[in-house]
Amino acid sequence: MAKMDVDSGALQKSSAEMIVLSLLEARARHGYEIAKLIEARSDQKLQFHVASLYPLLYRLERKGWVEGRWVEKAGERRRRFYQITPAGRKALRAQRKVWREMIAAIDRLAQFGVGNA
Amino acid sequence: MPDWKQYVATRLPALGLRPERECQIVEELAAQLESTWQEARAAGAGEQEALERAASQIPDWQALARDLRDAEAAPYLDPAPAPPGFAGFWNDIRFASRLMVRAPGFSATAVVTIALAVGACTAIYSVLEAVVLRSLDYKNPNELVMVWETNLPRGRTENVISPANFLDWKARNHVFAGMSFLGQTRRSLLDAGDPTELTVQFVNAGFLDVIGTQPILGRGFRADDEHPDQHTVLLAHPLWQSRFQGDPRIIGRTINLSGTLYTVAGVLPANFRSVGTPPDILECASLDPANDYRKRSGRYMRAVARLLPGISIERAQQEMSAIAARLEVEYPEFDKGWGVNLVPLRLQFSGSVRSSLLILMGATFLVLLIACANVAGLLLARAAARAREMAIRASLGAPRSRVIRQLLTESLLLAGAGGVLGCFLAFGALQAIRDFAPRDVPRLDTAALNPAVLLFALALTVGTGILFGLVPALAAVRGSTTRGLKEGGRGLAGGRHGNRLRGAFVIAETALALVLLVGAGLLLRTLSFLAAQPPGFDSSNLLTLGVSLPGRPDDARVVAFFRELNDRIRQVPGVEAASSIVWPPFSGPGAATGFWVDGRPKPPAGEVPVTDVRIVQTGYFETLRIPLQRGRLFREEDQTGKGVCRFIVSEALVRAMFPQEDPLGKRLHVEMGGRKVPGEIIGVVGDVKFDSLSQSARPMVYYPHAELPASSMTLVVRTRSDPHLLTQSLLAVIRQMDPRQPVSDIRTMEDWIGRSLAETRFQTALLSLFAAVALVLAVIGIYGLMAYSVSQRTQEIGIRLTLGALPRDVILGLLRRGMLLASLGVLVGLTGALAVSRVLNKQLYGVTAADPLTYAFVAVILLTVALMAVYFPARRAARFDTLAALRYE
Repeated sequence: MAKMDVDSGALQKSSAEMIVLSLLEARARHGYEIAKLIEARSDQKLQFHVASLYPLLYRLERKGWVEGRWVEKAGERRRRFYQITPAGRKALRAQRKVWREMIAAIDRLAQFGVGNA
Repeated sequence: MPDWKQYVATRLPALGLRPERECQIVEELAAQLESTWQEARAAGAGEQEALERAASQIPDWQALARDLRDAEAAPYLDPAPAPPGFAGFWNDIRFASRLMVRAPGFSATAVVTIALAVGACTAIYSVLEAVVLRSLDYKNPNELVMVWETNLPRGRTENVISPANFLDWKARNHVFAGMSFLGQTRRSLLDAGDPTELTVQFVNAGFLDVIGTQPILGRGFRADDEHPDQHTVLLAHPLWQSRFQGDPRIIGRTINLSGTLYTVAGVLPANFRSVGTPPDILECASLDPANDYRKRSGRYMRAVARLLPGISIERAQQEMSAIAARLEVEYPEFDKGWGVNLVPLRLQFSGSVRSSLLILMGATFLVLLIACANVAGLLLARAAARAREMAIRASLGAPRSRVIRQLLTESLLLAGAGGVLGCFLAFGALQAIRDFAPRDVPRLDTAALNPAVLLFALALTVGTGILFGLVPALAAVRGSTTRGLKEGGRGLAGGRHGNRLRGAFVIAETALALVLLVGAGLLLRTLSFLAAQPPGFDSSNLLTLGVSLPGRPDDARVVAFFRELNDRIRQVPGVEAASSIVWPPFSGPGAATGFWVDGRPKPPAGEVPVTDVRIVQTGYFETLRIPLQRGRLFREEDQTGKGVCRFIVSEALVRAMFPQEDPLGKRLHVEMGGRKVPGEIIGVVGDVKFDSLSQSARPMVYYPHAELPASSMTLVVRTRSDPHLLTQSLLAVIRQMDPRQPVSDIRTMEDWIGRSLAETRFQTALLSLFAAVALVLAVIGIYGLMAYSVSQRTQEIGIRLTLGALPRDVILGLLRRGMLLASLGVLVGLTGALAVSRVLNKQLYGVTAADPLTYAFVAVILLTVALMAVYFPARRAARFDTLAALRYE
């Protein structure tokens, strides 16, 4: 495994990308749904407000990792749904690998027993 | 329910994106807030509480706007270590391409700017490469030299040579592996097809061995071909193709040249180049060492020699000068004052156009520098807009070298696109150059975008990309991360340092543009002076036709033929006057020789004055309307060749030899022709320019044709209307006299004069074009700087206007800054132009390189144009909506 310099800002940023990509892995979702899912699945521990979520989604779109399209349903305001792209899936696999290795390394050092929780 | 779109639109600051994209973002944010509000309401919250819950999603609209702008501007914020080697470089290229595509206006401006400059440089370089730099298609071309005679008191450094001197040099030298002479004449090809006049070069048998080439068909000359009874020729490739359809069976056949049969021994290669007018035929000839050429003829040949291996041209020059010095002593009458000059053959070919081409090459480099400054300014502005991105990257650990590499990749990609487009432009430009260049530029037809030229274009493109990319790249990464994160997103590239850099670019562009404009201005004035120079005769409605009698007709027949021809031509309706001359004005070199006044002591050898000589029929001066100053013009009784030889002389000769006397009746000894008796001056005519309009008046002696019966003359015909309309009628008259008589060089006198100006015109046109491009680029640079400066100071201007400043004050303030930069550029440019324009000295006429009128005019033009470029952005700024300006960020 390559050496990793731990930088909280970078970690937070790349974890946010990984989280969003993971949620889009199964199917396309719009921004509000993504925010609610993050809140629900993290047991209210993580919250993505609008001010954080949308710049992140647009960055992912610019990188070509997600693709946005407008969907209009009868009686509803039209919404923009985001779908992960093949490049996004590749990036997600890479990020998951890095995180797995990092958590294993930290666990060996700090012995917080993630794997045993 | 609240109108969430209105809610977001009124609170979110302008993002500076395309309107559709901003609308989409507003709509998406509105949808998010609406969903939050609906959820709160569904959970039982009141209107106000639901509103607050939705509003809490976006606590800081300014921060959100900043983050949205960053996200939209640059996707690649990930500071992950670059993949090693090519993969990392490929990533940079992909990112740079995406940036280019997403900013089409910026990219197009930069690419077109670079393309114009690279295209111009490449086109001129391809001509330089073909004409000057490429080595000759001969074996060991650096060993080849032209051998000229020099006469420094007469100002001649490349004078044609005497056959006698050639024989002595050949016998006495130890520095040449071989020497060959070249003479030139015209002969008529009288085989099947229209009689055609050909240029024939006669050379000795060893000529092809000396220059190091061989025929592609048949054989070269052998020693026995030099025998006077042998008539052996080699055909030039173009003649073989056009007249003999490339038929290989021509070898061994005979052809009729001016009534004599010649055997074709071989065909020369297509890339064969000789000195002087490209020959159609090489004829084998010889010099007889037993002949005393010093008594029988003058100087009229050329010579080429190959240095022995290991002998330098300087060493050879020393020995040849020593031989010439000995000949001066042995033959003082003929050789006093005459030396030898060796010129590398490569330089001989490129000759007079070499300096013009080098000047044009320098001009294109100046245009390239201006283009680089322009694009660097654009990149600096863009770097300023991306400063926040750079700062974030730096704060996330991206090394500066990585960022610089990325930025340089972007520059190189822009330069690469510009380079490719520039090569296409160069291809088109080269076609235009070939069509409009002077006709006698050697090897111009071989100029092409060959591998050597493309390599130059590649090196130029890479160098350009680094040159305009490096400064903005360094400026973008320099300075503190905090400043980049805080300074409204402008960072160092957008702050004071960036402004100073952009200002420096504008000063540089303006200065360089001024240098080019001064050069173009000086050449334009030269051209206008030259074109206004009177040639000494009325050049309008004059048609010339070359007539050479084939065979070796006797003198009486020659004189009678041209007299009758002139008489018949004068009868053609539409003809006002007609006559003939040998070596008409502006058609190439004529004859010159020594002379002295009868009754005065003959000047010592080497100090005999020189006069030009022309041979004319009766009616010549009337046809050309050359003014008669004294005495009379030739009459028919002067054209008998018997009795006293009569001369007409020019005013310049009278000024030189008879400043205080009446020249009429005086006699001159002229070293020309067989007659040893002096000729009598019967008339003085106005000075006529024969070589170029810039030539100063030279002494001239006009012979009557019967005195020196040349079988090759040029008819000069003055017509009442457009001369071209009478061409067929005149040809019909000539055919009536002899159906097989070839006619050559059918041209108006104005064509001939135009040809003499062709090189100056061409150089002036190209330099003016480059100067115009430079001016446009410089103005774009000034305009861009001002527009950017205004956009950067929008808030400040809004505040000033709100606080009561008059729009006029705003405009004046901005004008002052812009014009200060332009004025500094003009000052620097004037100094530079003074230093650089000396290279044009040899090309100028009627003006000096420091002509104050030209400099002043150019400076005024540049400042006026700069003023307009500065005024429009300043005026726009003064009309800002103050509220919008205050909100602007």
